[in-house]
Amino acid sequence: MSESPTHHGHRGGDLTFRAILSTLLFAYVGFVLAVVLADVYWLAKPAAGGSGETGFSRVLGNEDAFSEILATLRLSLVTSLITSAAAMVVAIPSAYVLSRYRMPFATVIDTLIDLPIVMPPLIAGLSLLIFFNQTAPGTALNDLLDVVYTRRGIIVAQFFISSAFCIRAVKAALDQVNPRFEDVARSLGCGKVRAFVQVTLPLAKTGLMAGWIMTWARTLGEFAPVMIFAGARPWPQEDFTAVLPVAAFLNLSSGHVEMSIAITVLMIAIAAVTLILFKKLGGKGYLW
Amino acid sequence: MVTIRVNDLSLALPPFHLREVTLEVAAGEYFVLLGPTGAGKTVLLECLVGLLRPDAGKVFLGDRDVTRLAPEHRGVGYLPQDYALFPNMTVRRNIAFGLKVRGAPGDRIRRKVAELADQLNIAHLLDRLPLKLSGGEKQRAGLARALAVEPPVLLLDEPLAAVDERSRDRIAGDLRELQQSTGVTVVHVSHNFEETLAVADRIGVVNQGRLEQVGTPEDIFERPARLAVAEFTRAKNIFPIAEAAPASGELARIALADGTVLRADRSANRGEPAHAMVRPEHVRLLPAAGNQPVPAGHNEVKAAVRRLVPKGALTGIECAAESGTAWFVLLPTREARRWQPGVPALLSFSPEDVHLLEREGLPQRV
Repeated sequence: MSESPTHHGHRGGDLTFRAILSTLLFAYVGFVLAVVLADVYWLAKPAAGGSGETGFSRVLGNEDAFSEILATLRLSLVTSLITSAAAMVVAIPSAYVLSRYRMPFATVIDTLIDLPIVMPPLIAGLSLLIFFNQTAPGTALNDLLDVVYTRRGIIVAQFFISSAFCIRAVKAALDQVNPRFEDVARSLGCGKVRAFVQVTLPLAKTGLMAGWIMTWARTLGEFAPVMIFAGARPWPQEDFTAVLPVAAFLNLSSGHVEMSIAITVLMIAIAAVTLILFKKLGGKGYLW
Repeated sequence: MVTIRVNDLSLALPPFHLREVTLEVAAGEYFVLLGPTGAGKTVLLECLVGLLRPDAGKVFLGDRDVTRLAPEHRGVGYLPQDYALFPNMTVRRNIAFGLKVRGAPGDRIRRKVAELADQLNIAHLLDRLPLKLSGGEKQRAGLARALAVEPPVLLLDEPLAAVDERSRDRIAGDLRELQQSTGVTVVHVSHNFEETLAVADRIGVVNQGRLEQVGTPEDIFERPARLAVAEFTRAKNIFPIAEAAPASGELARIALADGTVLRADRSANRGEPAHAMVRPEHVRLLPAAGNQPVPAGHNEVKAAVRRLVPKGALTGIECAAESGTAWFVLLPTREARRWQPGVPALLSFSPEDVHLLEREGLPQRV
């Protein structure tokens, strides 16, 4: 563990300076906390009219609402787990190449990997739609896989963005492992793959776990590309494609505010647990 | 024990560039590749390990052409600069790693680990993680790991660089002993001339991707072939030559660029000399007006003491010749105390101690 660079001593004159800067910091942190708690407050607040009913009791007491949340959560979990697993399968070899080899056009490749991350999510969804609906290779692929406006499309939309994110996280983990370990392992008789599996992988394990968790969290929250590419078919339609954030949006726009906010609170709770896990694993950086 | 042969090896790996390196290391020899940082020593070593593939040329281990062979098929022992002990494994598991990979039976692994731990004096460290070891302990653990599979060749990249100054001599001695007892052929990369003197059978000096000179430590120290080698051994008193009389059996007359004329023995020298070199410890310092005669046939240069530079047991004395050229003399400190700045003196040295350096860029002779 490295020493924290924080200064604990008090130097003359520093206190005022620190107080001014800290005020801004605390103001922002307070703002974040207030926004998060507002959702909980709103759900816990008794409705006007004195019935004593709260948002919580209305959602939990309504069988349909409860079923919708469960079904949506299930769809979100299944798709995001498949997507994040697929992203890892692509990311580990890709990140290894980026981490260990010099490549021609390295800058171009690097930029292209960042593009899905930086690209506005809505635009990502639209572009996916154009590709699979309007281009020859795209339509051929769609004929084969049937992804536009389907549940499989959820995975494709999530995968498009999450893989880029996952490659970044995995590369950060692999960069931490000195390539010399593999060199030595090879001199001791390991082939390339065995050296990677027996030496590098165990050393990168926690970094890879942290990367996977953050990829999964990011996948779970993917909204715009999923809505545009997989459609926003709401529960309880057959083969509904509304994952958690899409369901929150649909409920909000159809006036079911408490449903929307219940989903919001659920997602905030998941995000909090994810972050705690991530920090426990010593994950750093690439948290967008 | 196996011979290592390198034929016309070239590899461009900017900023490094190996140029047509040819080298033969005898079976059971302790060979040091010596050179400044960035000279290409590590690149050459990694070609031997198999981590780098040369653009041209060949590498042989014994009779085997291993140029295109992956490291896992070469069976060489390798210790990289930072030792690269697997940080998640105890010393014991580090040492056992190579034997496990080869599928050796458990009791053989246990026996070998115990034997090496005993030999390298790390038995008490076997259950520790590498993080908790000192530089010297890490080095021994790394050596044990490399030696566990009984490689015929051991390739060491700066094995003494991460060892603290005070224990370096002892650890260098241990390295040498280990090599003698196992009979393994060693190639040891180093940038430190002094540390190699204690261990090397022969030294190859690498400079700018070229093998400049190969010889015994004494050869390299006393008779460097070129300026780059001489400078690397921290030689002083190196002067450009204006004119050299052709080599005959006799002593040749050498005119330095500053006008000084010296007599030198050219019998050992075949190429065209570009610089004359006199090691500071070979120069005698005599009183200018004294009754101590200059030995017959010796060179003499009139000078004045400029300053004394104490270096512990020895003291460097910087003198200015009449031409203004600086000369250095190295004396035991007690003797040097007799001299004061400003005192006129006579520098005296034998023609055999005038060593001639060849012009750069001539084809190497190995």
